[in-house]
Amino acid sequence: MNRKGKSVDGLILPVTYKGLFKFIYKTNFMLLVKMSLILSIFAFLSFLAMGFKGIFESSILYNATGLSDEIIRERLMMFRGLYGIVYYICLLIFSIGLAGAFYVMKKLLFNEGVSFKRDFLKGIKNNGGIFLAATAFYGFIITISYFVMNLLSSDDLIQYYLPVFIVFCILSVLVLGMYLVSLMMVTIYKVSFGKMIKNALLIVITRIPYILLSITGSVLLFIICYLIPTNIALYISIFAYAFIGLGHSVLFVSIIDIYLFDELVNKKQYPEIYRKGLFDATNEDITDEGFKK
Amino acid sequence: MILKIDNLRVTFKNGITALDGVNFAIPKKSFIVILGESGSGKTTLLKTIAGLIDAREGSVFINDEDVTEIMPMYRDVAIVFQDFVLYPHMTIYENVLTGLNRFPLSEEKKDERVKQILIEFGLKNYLNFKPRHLSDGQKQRVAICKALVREPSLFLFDEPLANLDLPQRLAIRNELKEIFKTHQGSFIYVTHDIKEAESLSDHIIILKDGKVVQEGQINEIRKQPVSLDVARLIYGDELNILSTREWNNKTANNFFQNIVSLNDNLDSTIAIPYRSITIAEKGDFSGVISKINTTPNGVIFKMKFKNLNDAILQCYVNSDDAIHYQINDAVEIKINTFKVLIYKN
Repeated sequence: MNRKGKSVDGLILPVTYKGLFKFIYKTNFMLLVKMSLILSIFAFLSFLAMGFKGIFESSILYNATGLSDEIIRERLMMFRGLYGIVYYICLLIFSIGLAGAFYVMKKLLFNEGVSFKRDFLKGIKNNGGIFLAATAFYGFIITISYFVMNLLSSDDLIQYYLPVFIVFCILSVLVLGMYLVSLMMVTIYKVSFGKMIKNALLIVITRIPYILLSITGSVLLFIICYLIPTNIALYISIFAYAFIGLGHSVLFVSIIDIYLFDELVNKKQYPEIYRKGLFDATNEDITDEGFKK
Repeated sequence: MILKIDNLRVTFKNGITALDGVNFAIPKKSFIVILGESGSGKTTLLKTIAGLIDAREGSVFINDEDVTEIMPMYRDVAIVFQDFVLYPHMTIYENVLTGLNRFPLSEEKKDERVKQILIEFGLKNYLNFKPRHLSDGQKQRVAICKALVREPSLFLFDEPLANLDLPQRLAIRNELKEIFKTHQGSFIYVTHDIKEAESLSDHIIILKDGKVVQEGQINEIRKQPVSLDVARLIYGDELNILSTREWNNKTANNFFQNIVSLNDNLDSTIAIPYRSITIAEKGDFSGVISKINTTPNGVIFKMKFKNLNDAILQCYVNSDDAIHYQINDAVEIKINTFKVLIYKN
């Protein structure tokens, strides 16, 4: 197969997914910005929660003069437990926006015509429900794990904190990987909820390096934001995400997911969508000039 | 009739009459070319048909319905201009989709139709490109797609290929012909270029100073252009123009008066198409080659004829024959008198 790229106005029509990633940045940067800004509306409560987490924790510590360490820790635990619930709800709201964003990204990467407003709304309408369900499921696991870890931070159980923290980290990676695979999976295929989880688990286990890359390239900054206490870096990160980061994350995750689906599923089961968004010089239209004169 | 123009008059605010009593009718499923020089009123005519310019007098009928007073958006017409009218911030797909704004179709059907037309014009790889990433030819293809996507009864093309280079012009012309075959609508194509006109359609309407001066099949018009201006237009300026007053010798008098006398006029202008003159071993006139021009259409000899009052005549020569000649070589020519055009002065 001819995998030679084709120059268009100094651009090379993409023949690999890496090329496609660069290509989208060059040709549709403003769409990524638009997507980030729209998603940041859905993520507004999440950003707010992240932004105020540090302030509330500082406030608890500031008003703790004369209180014992145990009471302070109890108050912090209570706050963090409550924060987990609030953040869970924020994520559910955010997932509605993600349904629209992933649908737009799928169409963009599959070289189908994108009309942003129309497709964003269509994505929400078509996939909003299953995105909510997936977020509820995976978010529930993470929230519960977070609660458990939070409980272990008490003095009596502190000796278990480190091993549980390690388990929590591994579980978080696994669940986050499954979540990201699931989002693109339900956008492309019609799958039941059970199959979605099963397939996502299989893909994550068999292709863990790609999953790690997907997480690193997309939500690492988000995780850092989640973990670091209130400081200027957090606000800068939130601003960066609101402006371009969210769109970038959706692009990054989508490209890796589509690559994995191609290799594991589409090649044999759905050849009609195998390498769909990549330029194939063998199928070139005879009237296609291909390059700017 | 898909279109009927009835005594159309358009006068601009500065008093210039752009269209002066234009009349013609076009049957359904036709591809008509309107040929005219710059300022002949071609664009004004198209804009008036599309409803972008108001007529001072007369009527425009589309599908037998008088649309003279109807707003442009409600006329069953689409227009493509010379300058690609595309939104720079939108993708190619979105640009074409805007052609279906307020169109009574479901989103799925619109999507299907937009993709289909973009594929037909070889743009399937560029759906999510911005216009700035495309060549001028591709941009004009997008503009054409935007017009075609509505599938109106009448498509109006206002010199859409004028800004493009030759390969792109040829490619898009062929695509237009293919599209015409597959679509139900009628096409009206405006140009000043006879080669473009004859490559697209047999039937032309010639416009001059806001009036229809001749209409019909190109070959018919070529046989009998009604005026020297029409002759110039229809032969693409490949005419040798002579005045009967200019020659003053026996050979010329004998030769031309035979033709002119048939028209009972001795004070005439004679137009001889380049292609009606051939180089011959023994011809009607003897001359000397003064210039040899190689053009995309063939080799042109420019010759000077002493026995024709130093008249300059030009003709096409087969490129295989042309290599045997050089500047200052003596040549004899034959003139096909049946193709000589004569106009009273």
